[in-house]
Amino acid sequence: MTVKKTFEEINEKIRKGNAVVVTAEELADIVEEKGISDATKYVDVVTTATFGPMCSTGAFLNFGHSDPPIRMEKVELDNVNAYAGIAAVDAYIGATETSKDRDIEYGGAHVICNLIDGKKVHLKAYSRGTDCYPRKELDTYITKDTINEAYLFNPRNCYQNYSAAANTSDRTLYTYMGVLQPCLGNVNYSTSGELSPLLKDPYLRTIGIGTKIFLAGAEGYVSWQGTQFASGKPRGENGIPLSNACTLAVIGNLKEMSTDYIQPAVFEKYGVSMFVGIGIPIPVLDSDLLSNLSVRNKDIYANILDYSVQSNNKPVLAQCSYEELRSGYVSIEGKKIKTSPLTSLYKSREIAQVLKGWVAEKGFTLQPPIAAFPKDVSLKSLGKRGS
Amino acid sequence: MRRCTHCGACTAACIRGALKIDAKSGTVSYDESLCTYCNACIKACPARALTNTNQIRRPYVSGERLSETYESR
Ligand code: SF4
Ligand code: SF4
Repeated sequence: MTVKKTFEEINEKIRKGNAVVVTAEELADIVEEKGISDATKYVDVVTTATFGPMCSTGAFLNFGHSDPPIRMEKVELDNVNAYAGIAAVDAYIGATETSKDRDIEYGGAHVICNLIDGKKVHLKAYSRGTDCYPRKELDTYITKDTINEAYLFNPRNCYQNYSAAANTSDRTLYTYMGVLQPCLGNVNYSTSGELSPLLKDPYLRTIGIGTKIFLAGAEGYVSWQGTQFASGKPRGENGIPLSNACTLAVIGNLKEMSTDYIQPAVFEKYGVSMFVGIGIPIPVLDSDLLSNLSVRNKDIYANILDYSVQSNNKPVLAQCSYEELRSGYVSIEGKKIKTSPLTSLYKSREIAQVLKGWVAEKGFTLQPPIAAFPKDVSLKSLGKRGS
Repeated sequence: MRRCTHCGACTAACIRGALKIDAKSGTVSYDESLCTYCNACIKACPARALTNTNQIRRPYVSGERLSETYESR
């Protein structure tokens, strides 16, 4: 008999505190022991997680009005520009913006973390002055407790797979994929493999607008498809895309977050980015979904791209499994090449465990998608337009 | 000074193999016998968890001396 469960049935179990919740890594062992059918009956929720550098991260802040009031046209936080072209005292601080005085050693990501930690942040604002907002300059200090709203809104996080990077040129490359040694000296890869959220529900059956998630230590939500969402990318037999595919836009209350689960990331000769911790609980609705959830690293593949080619279309040097990437070495044309991750498996595991505790013991119920994401979306590019 | 997250980015910069990530535990370990104190790892650490002192050029993680099996928490 085929097993089917609904979000409501699973949520009822969560409310009663008797849902069976396991991490995606733990599930793989359960499936090996019980088989797909029995595991589908037994497990209710599988937690997935990732903690990797995600550039498309930032926060909306509302500072509250000063007296006399100012219509902020230019805003700096600790000498980092925030975008103020929104409303009088609203701004968006992007993680990758760098500071005027400390360059890439301090950026929007650092400002966000200092706010989360409750530290004072230096606010400077400028305006031309209007009849209703006469003030022209403001110089003060804020903390997360002195301002109104502070919420993280990340337009593109949680990539479903990401191609690995290597370098065939004769010079070292410094990239957002880390240091790439010359002459195929190493391969760097991202994603947490078999723990990674969108690799485990490859067709996003349970993830859509409104999905409740773990975001940087707080409860957050999926708010939209992420930018550069590409659900139409080629997939393997198990439904998993072989390269960068779907993404999520996520939102959550910065004031409740913890820098244990979100950190600035500074990439040498590149710039600032941000490690963002995301966990997504996936309900076991049927055996098809459970099969997806139990896919192991050996069956998840990524392309290895040559970053020495300065084009948006980088040649694929090889394809390999996350099991190979994780082993420390991959082989390209018979050569054994060292691999290094950029996404922390250690922290991803920690997040999957914390989220498991939330669902199993703290009544963290699952929100069915309010709307599903579009299928077969392909990416547009600027191509060779412009000069 | 931020904490090491065991992301593994420093292992890409260390061409000596002194910094390695364990496939099972996902944690980074350091073998001083292979370290040439080149400090490439320090600049490559996105978390800025690695430092050195002027006197001893050995890398330190999150303010503590790197040991062969370090746990930064
Ligand atoms: S020392 Fe830095 S680069 Fe190395 S694993 Fe820790 S945080 Fe990552
Ligand atoms: S200082 Fe030592 S551990 Fe760091 S990159 Fe150089 S050899 Fe490797």
